[in-house]
Amino acid sequence: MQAHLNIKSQQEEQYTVNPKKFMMWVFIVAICMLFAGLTSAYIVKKADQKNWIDFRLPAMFMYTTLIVLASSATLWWAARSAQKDEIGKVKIGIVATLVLGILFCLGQWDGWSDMVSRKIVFSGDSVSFSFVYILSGLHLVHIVGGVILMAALTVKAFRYKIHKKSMLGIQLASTYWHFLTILWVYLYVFLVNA
Amino acid sequence: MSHDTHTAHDAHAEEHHHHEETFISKYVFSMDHKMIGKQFLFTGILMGVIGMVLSMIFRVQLGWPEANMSFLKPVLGGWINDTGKLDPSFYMGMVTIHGTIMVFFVLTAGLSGTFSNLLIPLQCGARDMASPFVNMLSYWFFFMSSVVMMISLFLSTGPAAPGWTIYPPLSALPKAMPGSGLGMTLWLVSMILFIGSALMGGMNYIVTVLNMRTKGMSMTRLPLTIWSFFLTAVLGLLSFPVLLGGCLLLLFDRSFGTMFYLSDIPAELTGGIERLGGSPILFQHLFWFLGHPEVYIILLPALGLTSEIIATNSRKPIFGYRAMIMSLLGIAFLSFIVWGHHMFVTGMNPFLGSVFVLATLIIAVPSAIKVFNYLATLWRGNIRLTPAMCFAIGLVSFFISGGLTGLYLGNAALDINLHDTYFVVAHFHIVMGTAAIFGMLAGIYHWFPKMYRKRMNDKLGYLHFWLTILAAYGVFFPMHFMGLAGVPRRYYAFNLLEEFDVWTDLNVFISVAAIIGGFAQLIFLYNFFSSVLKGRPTEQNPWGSTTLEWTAPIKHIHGNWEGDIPTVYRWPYDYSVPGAEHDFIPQNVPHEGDLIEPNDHQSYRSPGGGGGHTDTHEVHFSVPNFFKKLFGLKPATA
Repeated sequence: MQAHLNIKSQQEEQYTVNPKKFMMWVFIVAICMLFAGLTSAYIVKKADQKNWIDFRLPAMFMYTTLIVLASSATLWWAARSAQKDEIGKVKIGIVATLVLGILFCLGQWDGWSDMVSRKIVFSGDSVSFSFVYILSGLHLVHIVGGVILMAALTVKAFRYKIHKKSMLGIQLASTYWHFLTILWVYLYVFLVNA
Repeated sequence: MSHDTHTAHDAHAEEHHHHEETFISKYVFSMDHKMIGKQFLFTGILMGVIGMVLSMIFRVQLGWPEANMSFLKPVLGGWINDTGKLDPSFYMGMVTIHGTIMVFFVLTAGLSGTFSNLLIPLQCGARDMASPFVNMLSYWFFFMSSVVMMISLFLSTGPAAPGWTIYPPLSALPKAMPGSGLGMTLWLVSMILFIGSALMGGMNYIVTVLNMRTKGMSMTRLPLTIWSFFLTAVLGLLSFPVLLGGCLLLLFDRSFGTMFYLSDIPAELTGGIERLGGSPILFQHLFWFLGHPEVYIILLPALGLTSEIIATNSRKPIFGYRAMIMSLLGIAFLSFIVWGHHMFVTGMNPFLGSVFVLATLIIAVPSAIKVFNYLATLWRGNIRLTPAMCFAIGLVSFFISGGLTGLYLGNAALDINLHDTYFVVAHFHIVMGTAAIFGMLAGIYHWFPKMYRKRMNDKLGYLHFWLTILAAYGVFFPMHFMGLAGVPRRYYAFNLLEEFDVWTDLNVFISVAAIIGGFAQLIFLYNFFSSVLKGRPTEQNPWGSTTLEWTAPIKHIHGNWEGDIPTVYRWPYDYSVPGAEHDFIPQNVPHEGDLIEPNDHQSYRSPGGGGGHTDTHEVHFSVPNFFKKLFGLKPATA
């Protein structure tokens, strides 16, 4: 098996785009379609539903937006440091991203608690409530996946396995994480304005 | 260059000498695309048999509604009551599960999963899929999904019963009927696993086709099979996530008290609060946004397999290769903007309806191009009627007869009359059900030597073909007349209303044809399994085919080719080239005067470009170049 894998990696060097990176982009397209479907459903429902209730999003969602933006910045900085072989900065950057990612999850949870305390519950009087939980919840599911990825990346960084010549892991994780950041910003702007 | 290929060769040889595969890693959790393809095929065949047996049982019910069905008691147990009658709610469950199994488990996973896995790496010239691990996961998600679906058949309340389209509110209210209970929940769980499987598979297919083709294999030198698998994967990738969203919302409506799809539902039905404000039509939009591309997810691989089989067995290049690709692209694009034609009777705005009518009818154009090209390929060909070829021509026949009724149903004015009648049943069974099954069977007969290194029995193949095509037309053709006369689908029995009495004899005829067709598949199963065990051995390229999979050794090896991957020098349809020694020239044979690399012409792409005549623009995918070539602005072959 090992020998076979060697062949594969040799072969992979010859492709113009790394198949794993390409696959990550294809995966992202699939996630986009999931949220495109759900946000279109949101628009349609809002237009034709009589008992639609507009409500104020929890203030915490604004802070989590800032947190997730910051986490993208730290990850970008970590990847850039890895490109320059500055391992110490890579460690700091990845740990910071991990911590910010966990903070984001806690913040979303806090936002939901805030909504529940205002009697805006998942199976409440209007689907507008349910939609906010579902959109933010499905996004959070993906973020949890990303946090697990960051934890794995942290282990890798502390074993000195992320550097100029071993960038694939951090590049894949960055693509995914930055996408999730953009996705949340989109969802936030969408929920505030739509 | 030579250094590279030598290491590859050594590493590869090493693998065969030192690496012993265990039973588990070879047959169960295999990461080899050929084995995964066979796993999909086996599971698909098993599910197909189950789906077919269900259809035979409910055809018995429809043909002889007054008969005593106690003889089925050993199989169905309590679903046959004491007077020998089939339980009506189980009838609904069988219809639902028959549809679900056939559409998703047989014709999506069984067809696309089998042949995409088997052929994409072999025909593109790759060692394996982009991610063998994800590929393995894709199969095991499919397996789990099948198991969950099978478990739901054995529930005391029966399997899901709201029809394979699972429209709410029947599917959204667990208390609506027996089949809306646990069976429906399991259906949704099974489908969510299935979507996971389809997405992982599709991601692999797309990346492998775009990224891992061998040297010289430009997009315009790909066999049409690969084109169709690729576009199938794109359709699945874009539409399955939307169904996932729809199914999740439905699951929340059922189990967590939301009301996306529910309106005016009193509290006693929900066991809690009254549900207001939801819209079942929303589900139909989400469902059919997948549902219509799904039709082409089923059909395109079958059309791709047929293109290859018809060209090979006519000993002629496929007629209109570029037109075939353009029509595939056209069908793929159009399939996303026609989902509304399933919903003409939902109170849709007539203007919107007419937009969907227009888009739907335009699909006739690429479809007609494909049919024309098949017929033109056959025209004056040196036709070899192998069983695979028979089934491929059978597909063309069904594609025509089913496509024509599509023109009726695509018109909103006619569809409003024909909606939910047997006309619809006849239409979709012929154009995507039977046609795709014929494509799948053609593929199995044609690529069986590649899969199992044996030949199937031809005589049994012909018998299977004639019985199947006659039975299929016998079942579905009369249904058109019933549908035009207004006989509705999904009815448990037609003996309770007087106006249906005229159809009694025809229903018996259809049921007899269905039972004959079902038993005819036993011939196929016998032929398949006995040939796997003791068929006569095959030579490397039994059909005289040009594509790369036949250049691989007969014995399956990890990495597909001993030594280096072949380089491609020509398009895949060089049949009966004037002046050539044989009537076919494989893709890896250079043209006369081609610059062949020193030492061997079968080397794969090296980091430095590797020299040779093939310029890099040919090899790498670039959108503008690709379209230029497609429209013939630039010659495809160097």
